[in-house]
Amino acid sequence: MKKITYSILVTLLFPFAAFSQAQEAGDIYKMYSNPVIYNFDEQVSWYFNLSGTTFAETEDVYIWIWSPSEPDAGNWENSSDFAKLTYVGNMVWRFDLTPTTYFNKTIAEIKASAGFWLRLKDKTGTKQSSVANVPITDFSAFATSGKPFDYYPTKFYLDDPLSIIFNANLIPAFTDAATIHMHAGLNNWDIKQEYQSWLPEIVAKTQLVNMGGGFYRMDIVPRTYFGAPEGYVMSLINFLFVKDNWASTTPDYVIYAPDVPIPADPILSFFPMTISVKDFLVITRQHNTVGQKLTYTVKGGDKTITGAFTGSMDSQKAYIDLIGNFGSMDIPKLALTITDQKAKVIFQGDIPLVKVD
Amino acid sequence: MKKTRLLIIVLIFIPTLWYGCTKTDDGSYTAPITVNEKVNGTWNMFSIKMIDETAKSAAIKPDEVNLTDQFNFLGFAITLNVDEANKATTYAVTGEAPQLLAPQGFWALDTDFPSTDGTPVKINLYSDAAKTQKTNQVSITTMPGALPEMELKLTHSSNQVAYVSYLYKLVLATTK
Repeated sequence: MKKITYSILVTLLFPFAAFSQAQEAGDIYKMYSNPVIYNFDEQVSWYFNLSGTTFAETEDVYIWIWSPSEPDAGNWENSSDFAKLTYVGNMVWRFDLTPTTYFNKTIAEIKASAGFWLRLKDKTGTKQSSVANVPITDFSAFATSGKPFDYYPTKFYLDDPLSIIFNANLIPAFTDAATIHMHAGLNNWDIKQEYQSWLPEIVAKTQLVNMGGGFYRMDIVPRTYFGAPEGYVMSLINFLFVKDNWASTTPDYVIYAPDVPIPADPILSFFPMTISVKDFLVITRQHNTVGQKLTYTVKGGDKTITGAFTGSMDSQKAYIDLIGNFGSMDIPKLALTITDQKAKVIFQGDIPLVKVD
Repeated sequence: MKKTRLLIIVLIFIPTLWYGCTKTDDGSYTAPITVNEKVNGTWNMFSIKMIDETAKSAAIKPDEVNLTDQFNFLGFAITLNVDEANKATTYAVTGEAPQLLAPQGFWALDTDFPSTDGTPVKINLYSDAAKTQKTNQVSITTMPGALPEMELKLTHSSNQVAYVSYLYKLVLATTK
């Protein structure tokens, strides 16, 4: 135990001890990666926002990292080119790496390490940032979560990277997919990035990264991905995944931007609880999605009737006259189907009927 | 002074003496008002709701739905006719609403007078003049009184268990 504590201390304090003569440039304001989640053998970009530090815009900045290994060891006073960051703009620098290659470590070794500990510095080591740790977003729980998709980070923004992960193992039709694509829109399809499978550049843009084991990932920065104009307020992202050239699709999925209240799940209810052909059937569906318009089809004996629900997004109702339509029939049940304007089936099932005394 | 007092007393008592001499007029005999007299006439729809008796007995909400604006129920009317002797004869339902009740036929009450224990009087509807073929039975849950309003309840049962009721609130359309 003592040994572990000691080694952690050494890991954290080592740079202080060695380079205490360098000028402190301040704390790294913000760090993030793109993709947000990644396997350690995949290429990733780490972004460092150095606003508030003494680093000057466009200054050459180098990474000095000693955990999980120290690739540029011995070169504090003359950092190597491979440790150099790329200036992106607005005081943000980017460092591209494939962790297993850069650190010469296996995935397992990186996972077992203390994480990515570093400072940013100038080439000659006269200036250094505070010690920083590139956050690793853990998505290991996703595989067994039973969720078809999840997204990282949970607080995502229009201008920041967002990773959506998809477990194709849970959608039987997708298990033999050659490629999977995202068909998506912002704010209930207000701004769309459709999967236009006849346009090669769109096919590439919408294609998910195959992470292996049936897991796929989509990495986007919403503003650039959808081309949202300045001042645009994102409240949700609608999407579905498409197999190959529209061979199959997942259901519609929605993720809500932070601070956007998540609407309640739809509630479908039937009134009354017991019913005969001599009664009226009232169907209510609460918490519909924006623009959702429902219709019903009722089949009893050899007769089929259809009709529309009325009401708002909050609550839509259908009043169905069974007396006039089925009152003279001796039937044990009605077959009911409810669909929305996109022909999505909301409900399909039987309504059992009793006989009036 | 004494004379004045006596005069006042006499003046006060004179009308009393007069009244005491008058014969009381109790009027001639009138038969009590029957339910038939109260319910006959044409009754227009005011409101109708469907009550889920299963839900109600299990205290599950919602247990009722208002149908007044649905299925042309606003045009519903029922006329209960009586003869000169105030005996129930024919009835007719008008309007385009679905036929919860048979559209026409004959009617009769299960009793001529309101019960004293609060059991609602029932109107039986028949398809034949002999009143042997019963088509529906509705309870008078609110008897017309000072206000020309009546509430009828039609209950649907299956295997003797009530599962749905329709509560009609009606207003009198015609003067008798």
